[in-house]
Amino acid sequence: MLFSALAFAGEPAARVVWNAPGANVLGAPTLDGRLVTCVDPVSGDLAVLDTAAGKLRRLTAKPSSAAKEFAYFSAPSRDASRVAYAWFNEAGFYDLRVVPLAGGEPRVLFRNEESGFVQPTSWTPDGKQILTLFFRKDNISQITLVDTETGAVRVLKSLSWVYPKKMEVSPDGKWVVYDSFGGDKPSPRDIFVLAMDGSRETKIVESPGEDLFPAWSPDGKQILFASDRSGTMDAWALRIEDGRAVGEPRLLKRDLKQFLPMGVTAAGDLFYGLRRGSTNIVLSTSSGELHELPTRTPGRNSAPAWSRDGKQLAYLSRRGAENFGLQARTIVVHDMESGAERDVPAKLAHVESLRWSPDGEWLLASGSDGKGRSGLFRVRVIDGMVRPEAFDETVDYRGIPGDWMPDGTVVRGTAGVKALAVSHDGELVARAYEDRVEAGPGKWPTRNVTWLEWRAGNLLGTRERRIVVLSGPEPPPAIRYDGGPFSVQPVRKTLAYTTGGTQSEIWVLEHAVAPLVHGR
Amino acid sequence: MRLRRWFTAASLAAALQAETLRVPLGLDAYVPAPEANVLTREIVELGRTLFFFKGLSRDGTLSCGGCHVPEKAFTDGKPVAVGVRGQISARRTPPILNRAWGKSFFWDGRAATLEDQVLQPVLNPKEMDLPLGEIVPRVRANESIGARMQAVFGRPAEREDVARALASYVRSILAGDSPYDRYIAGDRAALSGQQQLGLKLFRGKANCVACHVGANLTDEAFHNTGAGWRNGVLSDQGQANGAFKTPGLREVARVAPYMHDGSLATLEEVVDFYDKGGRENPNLDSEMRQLNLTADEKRALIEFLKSLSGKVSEGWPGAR
Repeated sequence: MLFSALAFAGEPAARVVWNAPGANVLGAPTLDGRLVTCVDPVSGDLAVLDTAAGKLRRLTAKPSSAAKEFAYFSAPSRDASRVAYAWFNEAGFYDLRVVPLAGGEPRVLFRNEESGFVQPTSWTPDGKQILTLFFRKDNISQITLVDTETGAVRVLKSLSWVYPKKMEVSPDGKWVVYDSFGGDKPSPRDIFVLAMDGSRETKIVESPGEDLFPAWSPDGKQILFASDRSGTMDAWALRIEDGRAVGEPRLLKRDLKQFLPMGVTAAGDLFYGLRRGSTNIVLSTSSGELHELPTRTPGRNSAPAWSRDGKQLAYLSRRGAENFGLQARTIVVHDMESGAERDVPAKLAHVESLRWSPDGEWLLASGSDGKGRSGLFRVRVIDGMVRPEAFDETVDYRGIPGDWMPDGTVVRGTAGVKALAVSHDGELVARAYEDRVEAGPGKWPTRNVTWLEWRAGNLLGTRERRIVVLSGPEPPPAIRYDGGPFSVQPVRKTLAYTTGGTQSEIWVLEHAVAPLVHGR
Repeated sequence: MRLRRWFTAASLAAALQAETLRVPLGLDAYVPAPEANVLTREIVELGRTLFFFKGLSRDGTLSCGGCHVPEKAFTDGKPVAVGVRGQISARRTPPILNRAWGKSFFWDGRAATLEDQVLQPVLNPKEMDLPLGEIVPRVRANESIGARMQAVFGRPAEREDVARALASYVRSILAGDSPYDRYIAGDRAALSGQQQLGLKLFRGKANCVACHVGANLTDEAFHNTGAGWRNGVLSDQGQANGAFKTPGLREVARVAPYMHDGSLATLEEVVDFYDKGGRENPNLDSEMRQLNLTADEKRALIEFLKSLSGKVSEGWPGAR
């Protein structure tokens, strides 16, 4: 009786809605399910996908094809008349904008560099407020309501850098459901319901596993969410009354892999995103052999870094259900002899890349911490202790490039430096800029160099997914490479690199919950 | 004139009907409180009465508000707290602003919740020095308070009820709406050029955000800055090995002297302390290092700190 609202006997059927190259899950369906807001993968404009015809229609027009501006997260109003969306503006941060869904002039509703990342998630039923996630310069994320007339902001709740993966206003406009870490420290996510008037908050879902991506059923009587409590990532539903859970969650559909509920239509159809594909670390030897590094979490690994003696390989690994959005990546050290792996528990919000110190005791991590500081951090390999090395407030969460000198000091990139590498003897420092690479007396015009390493005196870089040799007498390396960030093992000259990629798709689970009977 | 009067009456009526605390700019609408002690007008106002009730001290001379003085941003301006009979504590009276968002309490974090915290100064021999068994009789003996306790909790006053009411009142003490908050909200003129430079230093070269983060400018964590060390000797263990909880910085210009022991008299002394990298000791926090701030940078940083002063409110809106 508890879940009599569920309109299926057994598991409902799922079908794909959009799986073209560049398909993205940055929007939400309209209440009638006919349209899904998204980003046009070709232009970067805001668009809507016609779910029946499979065609895109642009809602914005970038100033020029060369403009760096683009649309990001979006949410349609409940009456499908307007779309709220994030727009990466010409100044380098995000506006909150609104545009008529039928077409028309966009309006900037909120613009503040201090809250430079905005994510509209849903509208109140009266269309007067937009539930929006702010991510501030000081790494506070905020659950806010933005007035659709004045742009005035009301902050409901502040969180640390651990922002909600998803949040939604209830159909009656009284509650916000969101997911977050269960406590103050990184831990599996739980689901909370927060009163819109700020009067109370209740944790409604808690389990040893990840519980996340909550969405309301159209009648507001249930929460749909994702959970890996059973060992696979499944869809679940939970009955809600007066902002509190009633009974236990009920399984809707098993093993949906890396999925993201996007919204439920009035007919009870659940639109969701799926991420397919994987990233792995490949070892490529000079004899032409390729091996995939055997790891505990295959498919989620990247950014390898060899220790100087070649006996250990550090890399980054995504864990648990952290499957969409900015990810906290775990640092893993792989022993090449025994195959043993262990996590390095560094307290960092994001790690972009690693470099191993000459003495093997430290990793130099570029990224950001939980206090809004982006730059370089020393991470002690044995226990994960973090020691800040250098910060730069002008860079984003990915930090700044850096490398070790032989004496254990650090060279950091300055403004405009995209990649940096120090030769193992410390004689040369190579710096890649947008249009050139410089090392010692040498200068090489280039573009899109994303990684630099030294191998036996030669400077290697990547350009358009190819390794290029930027200095030295040797011919290009005869090692196979078709991936991303790489690291050269100095003794046996084995290349470790990231390969693979992911692709997003939009699916619909029809009649996941009972249709809305009493209108909106 | 009549219109203004009407608006005033309407505002008053709205305040009287407020179902939640009114939070100033810069703070969350949601003021955390445990499910077992939900914030209501009645309990907050009862807590306010208890906060200023001198009957909670042994000799009836000191209330919570005797040290946490509202006009002084809920501290007392003294280097260390002074209890009944002039007894001297080892630590400064901490400002208790925005403690609803606190994660632990006291300089050493020994209380996990406000409900755990609020009666400890009452019982502390160096503070209010009231024997444990005396709390309930003192409260019940006060006719007015006793009756209100009965009305709010539906039973004769118990010690836990006193703690719940005091904790609720402390949760109602809110500080915000400062020039800093207005600047963060988008008013670029709210901070002077010098203060904006100070903010940049705060986030960058001066590394203040290593500990002073979030809406209350504290990470609610414990750090060893060397403040607990004197001449190579640890004078106060704090939470452990000389680490003390990061205080929030709201109203910081109004709450001198500074540090857990009131040992630094001015903001200038505080900035100099951190500029030198704190005080060397075996457990010095890894974030502490010499800053090499110039005189202009120090002045800018201090001017920025002054921008953290705004409005302090307490109690339930419209209740008095």
